[in-house]
Amino acid sequence: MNMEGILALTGWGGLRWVGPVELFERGPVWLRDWAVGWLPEGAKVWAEGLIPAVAVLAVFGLLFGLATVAERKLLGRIQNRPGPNRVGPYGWLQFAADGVKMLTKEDVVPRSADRVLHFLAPIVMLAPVALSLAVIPYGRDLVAADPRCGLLFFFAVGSAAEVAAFMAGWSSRNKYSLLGAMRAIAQMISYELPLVLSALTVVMMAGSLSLVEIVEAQSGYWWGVIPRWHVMTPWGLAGLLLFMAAAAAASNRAPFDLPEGESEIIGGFMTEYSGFKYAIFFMGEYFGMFAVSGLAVTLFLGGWQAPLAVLEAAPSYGWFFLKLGVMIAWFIWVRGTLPRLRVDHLLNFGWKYLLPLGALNLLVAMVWRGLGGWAFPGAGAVRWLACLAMIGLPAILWGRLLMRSRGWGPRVYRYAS
Amino acid sequence: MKPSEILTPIKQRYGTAIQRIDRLDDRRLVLHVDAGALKSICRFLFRDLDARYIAGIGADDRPYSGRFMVAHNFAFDRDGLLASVLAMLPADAPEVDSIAGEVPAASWSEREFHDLVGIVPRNHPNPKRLVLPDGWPDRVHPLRKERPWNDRPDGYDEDRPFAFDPAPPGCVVVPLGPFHPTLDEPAHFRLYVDGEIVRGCEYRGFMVHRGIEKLAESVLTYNDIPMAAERICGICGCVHNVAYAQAVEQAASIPVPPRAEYIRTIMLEIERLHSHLLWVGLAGHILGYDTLFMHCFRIREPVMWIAEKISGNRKTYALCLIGGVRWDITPELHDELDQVLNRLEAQWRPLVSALLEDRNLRRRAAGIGVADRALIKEQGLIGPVARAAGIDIDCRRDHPYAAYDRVDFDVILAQDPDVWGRISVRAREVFESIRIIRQCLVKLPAGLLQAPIADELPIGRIGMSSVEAPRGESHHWLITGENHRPRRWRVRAPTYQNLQGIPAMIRDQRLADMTITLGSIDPCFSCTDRLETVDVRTGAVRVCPPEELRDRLRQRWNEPTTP
Amino acid sequence: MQDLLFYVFAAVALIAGFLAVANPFSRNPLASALFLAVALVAVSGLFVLLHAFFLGAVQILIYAGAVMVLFLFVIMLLDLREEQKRRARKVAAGLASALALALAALISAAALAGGGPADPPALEGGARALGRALFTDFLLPFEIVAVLLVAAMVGVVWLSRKEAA
Repeated sequence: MNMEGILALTGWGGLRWVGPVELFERGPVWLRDWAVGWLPEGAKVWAEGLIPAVAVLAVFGLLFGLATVAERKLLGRIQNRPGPNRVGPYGWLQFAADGVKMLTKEDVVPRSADRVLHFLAPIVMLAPVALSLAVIPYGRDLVAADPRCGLLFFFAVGSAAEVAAFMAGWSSRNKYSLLGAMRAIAQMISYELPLVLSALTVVMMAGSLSLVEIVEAQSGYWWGVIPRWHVMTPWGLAGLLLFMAAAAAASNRAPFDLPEGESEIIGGFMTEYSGFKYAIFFMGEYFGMFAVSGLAVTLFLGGWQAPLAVLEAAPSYGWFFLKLGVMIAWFIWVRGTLPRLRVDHLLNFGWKYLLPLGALNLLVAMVWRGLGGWAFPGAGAVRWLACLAMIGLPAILWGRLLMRSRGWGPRVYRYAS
Repeated sequence: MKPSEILTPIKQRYGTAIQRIDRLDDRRLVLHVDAGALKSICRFLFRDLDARYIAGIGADDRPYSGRFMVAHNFAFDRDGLLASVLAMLPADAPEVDSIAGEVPAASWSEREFHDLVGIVPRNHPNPKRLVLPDGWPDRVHPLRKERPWNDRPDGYDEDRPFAFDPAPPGCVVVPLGPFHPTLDEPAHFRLYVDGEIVRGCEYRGFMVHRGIEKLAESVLTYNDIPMAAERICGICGCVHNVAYAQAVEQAASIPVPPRAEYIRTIMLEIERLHSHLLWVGLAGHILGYDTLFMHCFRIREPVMWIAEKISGNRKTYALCLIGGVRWDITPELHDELDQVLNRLEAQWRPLVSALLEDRNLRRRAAGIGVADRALIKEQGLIGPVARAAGIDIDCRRDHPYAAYDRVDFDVILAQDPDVWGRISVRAREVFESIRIIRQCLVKLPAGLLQAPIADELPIGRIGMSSVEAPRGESHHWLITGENHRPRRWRVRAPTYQNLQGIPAMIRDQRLADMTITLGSIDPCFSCTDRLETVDVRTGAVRVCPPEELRDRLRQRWNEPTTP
Repeated sequence: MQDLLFYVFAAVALIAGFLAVANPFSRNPLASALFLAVALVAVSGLFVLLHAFFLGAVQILIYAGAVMVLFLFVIMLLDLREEQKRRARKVAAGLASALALALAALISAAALAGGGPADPPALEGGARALGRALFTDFLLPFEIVAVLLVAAMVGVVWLSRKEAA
């Protein structure tokens, strides 16, 4: 863990006058250092690891609650109805009521279930996702852990979700659970590839696997106004779109929520879960959405960087969470807009569309870098448009080609019953 | 084609086998034939004259003629003819040749009269029980006249499981139902699944125990039955109500006042409106598109309100009595209904254009649940399922009733015999319903609501009535009888026929398409199950104290389950 | 703390590894597979203790994630009851024991002979250092692995197409 750098920056002990900008910006770090300072020497090293962990869990735990209400309210807007509006002001405490309900529900375990695996599955689902939140930089110097290969760490721990889905589906001894687990695993594995591929583009351009360094690579402004975020480049824009499409699938969000498509296979691998265990799965799903949204913000949207130089006075973590909120709203919007896919369409979309485009995007990023040497007037615009055409045209044409309906062929019937 | 033109070839071919031909009116025939020739005549009608199979009826006629009766109903849709081929069977050996081998659509009807009346269809291709549970004692047939309506037969083994066919090799059995999030009513599909691909299924339904037909034949009277009839179905109840009343009116030759006919038309179309709006929403829900579901329900709600204003109820309108209707459309209701229709049309039009141009939805729904012309002919599929495949049938036009012959409307067709076509047909039929109601409101004549009926209804007359329910044709067949009640009343709901097409429709497609394929026929299991049997539960109402429920649960919990 | 973590990870890896091959409580292959996953995660923890973050992350990503899931799928396709009934063959058991003993001897010989571990190269997972290593010193193995993977992929596509047709 790379905590020394942060400690040295702020120091401990000397009180000095600070302005409100600095107070808000550095506040969280100072708070941590102040708390650590009270502890005996031997406990400090543990506390430095624990305090950010607790902080991350607390912040995202609250965000989880608020996001569930926000999702239902926003979906309500899309569907022309009010959504939850009874518990607390404007219904914003609905999540607390839901939590109490979940906690007090009976925990039903099927008789023939494998009890140990059935118990462990939700934990194996939630814990790695929570771990992956550790490497995302939430603000300037505000990161729980910054290993050199942060991005790789993120995807590595994320892959445990597949095992968890399998454990849940298998241990329930229910055919619908097993079908759901098989779908979930096929989907997660398929969509991890385009996800990693679009993230790889950023790694190539930023030259680092460390998320902190990737954010720093996006600092500064073109002509002082346009932030140098990756999304402002053609490959970054395409990368973000590919990444978000793959992310929605990898985190089992609608319209890719087949593993728990309730109209088809009841609850998928969560069919036999109730009460608190179900709540943990639910939480794991939302944490997954937060983590992957946070990663999208970090990779493409400049992380905690402000969009304009004059706005840098606002605390950096504020910008991060604002962007995170936009991403979550995007997820909810998509859920309200699109019907669920069928499993073969979903796999085709991943393998035949997202994956080739992800590979092409890697190539576009290379061209973008290669054309960086041009120096004639208007070179920037030409480079921008050329790269956009390189990724945009194939995307549209290939999409058209794949969308061509094959129609229905002749069928042979047997009239038995 | 006039009835005579159809009769001529039949007479030529089967001369002596035809005992008598009754013309109930210009559009309804009853052919009394020898039981031995029944199969051959049915095949001739179905194959050579291209008639559509409607339903098979078995009846216990022993108290009146000393014999059993079996009838197969056919429709000549292009000619507007309904024909019933009727044969009498000896009381000591009620057996008849099964026609299910020649007319696959008759399979369920024959299994049903085997169960309920005890008429044995010889050489039936699938002679399993359909309506009665497997634990029901043999030789106890609830619709026989000697069985009382509240019969509790000895030896009924309620816990006996269904005897299913063995699963095909290499397939896993996935049970769908009786309880499943998308089944609003209980039915069981035993799916044989190879990976995600469904290779076949076996259906066990008829779990909604009510015995409405038995009640009608033994307890209720003519004017009670419409109220029981509309409780056959929670969505298209008015259809059964009207169809029953029309069957009686036709049997007893009772003229219905024109105003009543228009009001019946209006209520039937109101019902179609809210049923189709509900269905499009449910299809969206099944396809994982809850936004569509919510919008459909919002748009649908005013239709329910206006139905409540007219009849006092959102559903179960209690509209018809024999010879008329009970509710009037007053001038105030007239204006309000007009406003509801305007608002509905203004909201539904943009939604439909968005829906029908949604490529995601189209890609999801196209090419699944395919029922082409061959299947539709063989299994007698009807309603939007047939119209989506481009088969131009609609009882409102082909066998006009109420005021449908006096209004102008189009029969909506599509050329996609899949789920997508059915979505498109139902979504567009809403506009035709609006058109029909508007015309009715303009043309609504003044006059009586109810025809005066002075005499007792004649006895032993046959009545037939087909009504186009939102899901397809609802067919009622009855014989009038003594004590102000029919001797036999048979209801064939549209889902009864459409469900028989499901095994062929889901074969070799994905499990994910199973629920939407099933949903696409707009299944109504209550309609289909209308007469299950008089079960122990309906025989006597028993209040189960919570202690006992808990004990039973414990008992279930403690007994070992077989894996 | 480092030492403590080392012993924890090492113990978990050993115990889980043992349970994966010889579980006295259950002969369910699924349990073995899941114990193998636990062992792999523990080994990845050891890598991290050696500052080989990249190796640790890849270990989890590929072995605990992808390969494990493959195992689980394959196990599901097998007939589990048949597997549980099957007894280990004596020859196979003897051969495996001999191999394990030989491996143990090799490792202990190396540990006794060598003067302790040399300082590992600090390959902490930086993209630049990693890329350089892969494309200079380890270019040949890298290319061979790439060719192997492509061949496997083509083979899988071919096999699954044949089955579908």
